[in-house]
Amino acid sequence: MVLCVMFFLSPKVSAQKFLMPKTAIVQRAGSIGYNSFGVGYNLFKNKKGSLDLAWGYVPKSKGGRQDIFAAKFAYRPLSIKLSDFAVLNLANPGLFVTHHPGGKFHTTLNKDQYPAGYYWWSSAVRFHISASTEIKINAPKMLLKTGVEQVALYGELNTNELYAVSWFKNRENLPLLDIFKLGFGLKVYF
Amino acid sequence: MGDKSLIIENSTMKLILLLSYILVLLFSSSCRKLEYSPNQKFDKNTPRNINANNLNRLLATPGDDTIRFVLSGDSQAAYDDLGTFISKVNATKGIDFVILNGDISDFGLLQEFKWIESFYSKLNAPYLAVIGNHDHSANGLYVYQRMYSEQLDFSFIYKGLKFVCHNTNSREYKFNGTVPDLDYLRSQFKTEAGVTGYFAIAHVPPTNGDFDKKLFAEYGEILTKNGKVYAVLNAHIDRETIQYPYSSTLPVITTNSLYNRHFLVVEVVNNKFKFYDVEF
Repeated sequence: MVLCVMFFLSPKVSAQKFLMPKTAIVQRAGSIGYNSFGVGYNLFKNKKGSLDLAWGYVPKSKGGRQDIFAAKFAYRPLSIKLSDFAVLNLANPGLFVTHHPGGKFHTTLNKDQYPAGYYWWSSAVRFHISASTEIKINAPKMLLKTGVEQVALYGELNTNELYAVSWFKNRENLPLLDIFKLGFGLKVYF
Repeated sequence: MGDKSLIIENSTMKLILLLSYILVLLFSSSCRKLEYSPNQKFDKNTPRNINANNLNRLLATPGDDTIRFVLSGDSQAAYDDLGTFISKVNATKGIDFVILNGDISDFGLLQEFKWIESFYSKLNAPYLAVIGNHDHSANGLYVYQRMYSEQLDFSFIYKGLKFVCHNTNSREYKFNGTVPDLDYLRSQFKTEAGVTGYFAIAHVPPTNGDFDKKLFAEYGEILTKNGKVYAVLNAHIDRETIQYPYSSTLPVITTNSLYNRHFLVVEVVNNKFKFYDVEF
């Protein structure tokens, strides 16, 4: 009986541990909302990869009310130790997908309304590439008690596939940097 | 001890340097790069009411008795071509105004509207934009309404000619019978004193599959009944065409796209209408 209970409990415990987020972010701009909030996980054994799941919003006064859901993947190939308590991840490539819910946005074209292939893209889903720079410092002692181990500040440039297509068709006159948009945020590591 | 504090000083310096590098990266690359969403309906720098402002400019210019205007369309993803287009139009004498006849954007994104506006605002002549089907994608409709005109159907009278700009993107409204708005057109095309001729300006031509078939005949009836309509001016199909689906006196003309590097110059001199294509 006890064994049985243990059998059912133990994977649950490890699943809970597995699902427990390792990081949390608060971000301003960066194409995933005016403000966005998310939780994240470390990926790979070397913990160089990360996956953040975020919800962001744009207030009415900042561009029309809207919500954005984002799944962000990033890889940190370079860790530069600045001091005993600070690490710089200078250039981190990433990919992310955003979902824009709401009646104005379509995931697939309404077959009754449009012939197949009328619009080739989905207005509700955007695919982004990104590059970020992140500086991570060990949490001060007072924060350690709350379980926060490190605090990081990051800046991130991104573009999406529709901007990229626009640039690709107009490489002579559209500066590449014009299609990259900025965001910055704070990340805490538990 | 001294050595150790030196190391800390050094690394603190490094840290400060790198922090300032990040801050510089974030803020000096200017707040204009901050994007909340590609589907933002506006940002701090989005111009507003361009059509109304440009119309005021147009009506304030005395001009001569020739009416000459540019019909351009489908500026979507034509950023490489627009610089030349603007120079060409600015070098053409006597252009009263320029029409951007729909599909301003490809994907209905604010950034696209802003790119297009950054070119069109360099025109010497005032320009007015009409909505296209692509501009209905995502939040494009809101972007258009804020930047150009709250009303998708609007008209103006210039030197005795009436220009009725209207929304013919029926497919975007699931062919529900409300687009084009025939009641609006009926009231606009009632003959009125002091108006010697009319133009109907819209993105989708009535002969195209994206125009509501149920409204095709009545649309033509309204225009032919008026008797003084010089032409229906459209874009959308990316080539220059002239057709007479309603009567031999009512041409339906489409302009080739800016992406293909074409526009039309339309003239009315002594009540005579003519137009020609310009390749640039």
